[in-house]
This record gives sequence, structure tokens and C-alpha cells, in this order.
Amino acid sequence: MKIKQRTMRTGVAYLIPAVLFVLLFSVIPFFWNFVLSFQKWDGFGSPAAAGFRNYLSVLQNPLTRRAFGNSVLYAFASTFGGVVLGLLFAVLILRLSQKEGGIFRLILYSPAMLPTAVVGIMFVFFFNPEMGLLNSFLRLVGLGGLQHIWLQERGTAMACIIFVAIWKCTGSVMMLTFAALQGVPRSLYESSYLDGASFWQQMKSIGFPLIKPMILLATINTLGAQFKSYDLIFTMTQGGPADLTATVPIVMKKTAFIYGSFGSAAAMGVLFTVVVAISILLIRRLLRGETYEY
Amino acid sequence: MNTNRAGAWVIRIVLLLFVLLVLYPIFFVLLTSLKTTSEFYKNIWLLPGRAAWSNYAYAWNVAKIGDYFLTSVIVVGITVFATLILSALAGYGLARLNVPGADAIVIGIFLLSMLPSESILMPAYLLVSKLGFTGTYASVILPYISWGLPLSIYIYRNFFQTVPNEILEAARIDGCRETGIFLRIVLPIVRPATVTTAIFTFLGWWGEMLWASVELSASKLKTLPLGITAFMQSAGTDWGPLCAASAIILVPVIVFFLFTQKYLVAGLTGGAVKG
Repeated sequence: MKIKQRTMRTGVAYLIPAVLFVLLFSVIPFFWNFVLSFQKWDGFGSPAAAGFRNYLSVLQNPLTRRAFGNSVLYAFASTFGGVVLGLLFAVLILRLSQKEGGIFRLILYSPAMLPTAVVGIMFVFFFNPEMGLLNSFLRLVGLGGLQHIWLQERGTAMACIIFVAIWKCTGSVMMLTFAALQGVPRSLYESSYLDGASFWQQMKSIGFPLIKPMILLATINTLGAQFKSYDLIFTMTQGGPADLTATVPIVMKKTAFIYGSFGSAAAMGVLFTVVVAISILLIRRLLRGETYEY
Repeated sequence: MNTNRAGAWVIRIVLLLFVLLVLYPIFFVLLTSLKTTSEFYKNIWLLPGRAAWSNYAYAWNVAKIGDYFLTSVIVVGITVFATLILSALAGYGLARLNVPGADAIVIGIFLLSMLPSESILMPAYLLVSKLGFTGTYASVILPYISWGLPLSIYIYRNFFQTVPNEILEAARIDGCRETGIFLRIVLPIVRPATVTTAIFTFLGWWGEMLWASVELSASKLKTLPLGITAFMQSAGTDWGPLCAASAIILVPVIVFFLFTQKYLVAGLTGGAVKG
């Protein structure tokens, strides 16, 4: 028993520095944000009680409402694209040899580790109306009529940003689902193969159901990450044209540091946390279902 | 899998199209970074006639990308180092040292790692300015360390749980002190966790922008992502230097990636896949 006490004391001592850090910069700010969301404050002087007024102003303001809509659209659309494409890559690579598939995986994963800000800048070049790759390519192949001022037109700006988000987030879904598919024993496919099932039938009725927990995990990871939209949108459009692509973090930063309304910004933060939590629970529910042991 | 030859070629061609879509924008940046502006406007597709390294010199010195690079190296270097130490200690405590309520703490840590940074942005800013750190290295380093901890503690804890208790007990009976057990026996075993955590911490903060822009936008001190966006807004259509600046951020990441990709994949899937 002496050993148990000694290890306990050491364990607590090991834990304390990390816990202090987390308390100071995450836990305390989290509760403070909640308090702040019920106060009127411009960052100077002393805060005054505001009741639910911050929440009301956030919910009534068309700009913040649009920001929430955009955040949800951006997160869900890019997650959907990333999961579908990631799964497709995983399945296609599964049919190639180890070595060849490894090279494809390495390359297709690489966007996932590039800094988002640089990815944003890269695609500003890509979508640039005069010298950009996309328009130049369209001119080259004689489809000049399809050219757009991609990032400044109402119809195309958000779609382009979501395209880039998918470009970046597909790789990690591919990695996760590929590893799971590889873990499914070959023997499970064999009898269906003898019965003449095609590869796609095998995937649909054997492969995918078996790796469902991993698909769920990859979807939730991606969704959580895709709600962090600041870097990409700030570098690509700064929320423009006319706030059309503004998401919550973009508007929130403006609300606090340009309009000096800390209370409203804090209320946005609280609502945003609720939206993210509900989204994740929703996905869990949608993808729920029996899991199989193998 | 059973794939006939024609099928394999269809797959190869589909995948190659996506490879092109992934690599070309990166290749374009590297290519353009070596072209003079007039050469670029003449034809965006051609290879540069003579490599215009002056773009790099311009980005590094005049646009101060060199200074920002150094700042980022210091910020991320200290962050990675401190995160590794703190999370290894905490993860070991939670996994193997009878900390009371360890399971509840782990759940709390897991939830914290899911928390969107937007929900703590404002108070964290106020806190840092109350501490008098605004615009200094500490204003980014301390929060980065703190925000990275939940996930890295979680990774370490999972790895430490695979270390058999018998080893620790044997060492204790032989009279080894707890610090000795941690440093000389346990840490070497979980080397893969250390590499994984280091990679994810590095990649996570090397490009971070939201917090850095809140803390440092009014300061002379700027991390690379901030510096390059500022440069982009001032340089406008000066594509050569701008691409050179982007390449300066990209190249360390690409090199880092090629050296560590084995661990990266293991870390991504570690513990989540049945062998």
C-alpha cells in the first residue's frame, strides 16, 4: 500500500503543471466567455449586466445569422465532399499493389499537412481572374466563356472556398478509412467472391458496414476541424464579397475588435459551441447503427 | 483484391487525375517563385528560363519573411518542446500512477480537445492582456501550449496504457525511483507517441492564424502565416516574391512530412484500428 500512495503522489505532481495550463487558458476562459455573453462591454471601463440582449442582437442581426449559416454550410459541405472522396480514394487504392498504393496515399494525403493560410494563398493564385491557373486553363482549352472572377462573384465565391476545403481535408479521411479497410480480413470477402459478387457489391455489403465505426470517427474528426474556417476564408476572400462568405470566426473577430462589442462576440462564441456540439451529435445519430465484430 | 488489368488502369488514371489536382497548385507556386514578373506575365505555363532566386532574397529581406520565419521557429519550437514535456508527464500520471479520478479527468480532457477555439477567443485575449503579455512571444506560446495539451495528453495516455504494469512493478521492487522509471524505462518505450505528438503539434501551430492575428496584428512581432498575409495584401500582383514567400513556409513542412510520414500515418490511425 505504501507503493500505491507513493505513486499517487508522484502522479498528481506529474499532472499538476498541465492541469494548471489547461485551467488558465481553456477552462477559465470558457466560463468567463459564458459570463461575458451576458454583459455589455467595449473592452474598456467596467462591464454592465445585459441579460439576453447580446443573444437577441446576434440572432436578429442578418450578418451574424448569415455567418452561422455559412459556417454550417462550409463545415457540412466540405465534410461531405471530403468523406465521399476520401472513401473513394481508399477503396480505389485498396485495389492496387501495396507499393503503388503507398505512393498514391502519400501524395493524396499531402494537402492535409500544408498550413491552411498558405493553401488559401495558393488558391488565390489558382482562382485569380487574369493570370490564375483555372482561367488560363479554360482559355487554353477554348472554354474561355466559362471564365469567372471566381472569388468575387456571388455565385461562385463560397463554392470555390468549399472546393479548397475539400481539397485539403480529403487526405486524412482516406488515411483513416484505408487503414480500416486494410484491417478487414480477406477471408470475409472470399465466399461472396465465389458467389460472383462484384468488387463494389463486396464493398457495399461487407467492407463499408464493417468499417462503419471508422467512417463515423473520420466524419466527426473532419466536421470538428472544418468548423475552424478562419484561416482559409480570411486568406481567400476575407469574408467578401459583401460579407457573402463570412463565417462565425470572421464576424466574431470583427464584432469584438472593430465594433468593440465584446459581449455580442462572446454570445456568438457560446452559440457557436452549441451549433458545433449539435452538429456532431446529429452526425453520430445519422451514422448510428449496428457495429460488427470481426 | 481481385483486379483485372484493365480495371487497374482505370483506377490508376482516375487517381492520377486527382494527383495532378493535388500537386499542380503546389508545383505552380514553386515554379512561379523562380520566375521574374515579366516572364510570368508572358506565359504562366512555361518553366523559368533562368531561376530568379532574387524573388527569394526579396521575400526574405525586404518583405521580412526571414524575421517572421525566425519568430515562427522560436514560437513553435518552444511550444512543441513544452507540450511534449507537460503532456508526457500528465499522460503517464493518468495512465499508470493511480491518480484519483483519472477516468473522469480523461473524459474532461477529451471534451476540451473538441472545444472550438472561438468559444474562448475573447476571454483568452482579455486574460493575456491582463497578464501584460499582448504582443509578446508569451502571448502566443503560452496559449498554444495550453490548447494543444488535451489532445497530446490523450495520445500519450493511450500509449502509456500499453506499457505493462509488471515492468513498472519490477523496477519499483528493484528500488528504482519514480522519476527514474519514467525517464529511463517508460519514455523510451513510448517513443512513437513522442514523435506523433511532436508532428501534430508542429503542424498544428506552424500555420495557426486566428489567435496569432488577434494577439500580434498590432505588434511588430509576427508569425509566418500573419507575415505572409500582410505581404500578400501589400504586394498585390507581385507574384514571384509572393510565391517565394509561400515556398519558404511550404518547404520545411514538405521536408518534415517526407521524413516523418511513416510516423504520421501510424499516429493518425494508432489505437483506432484493429490489427
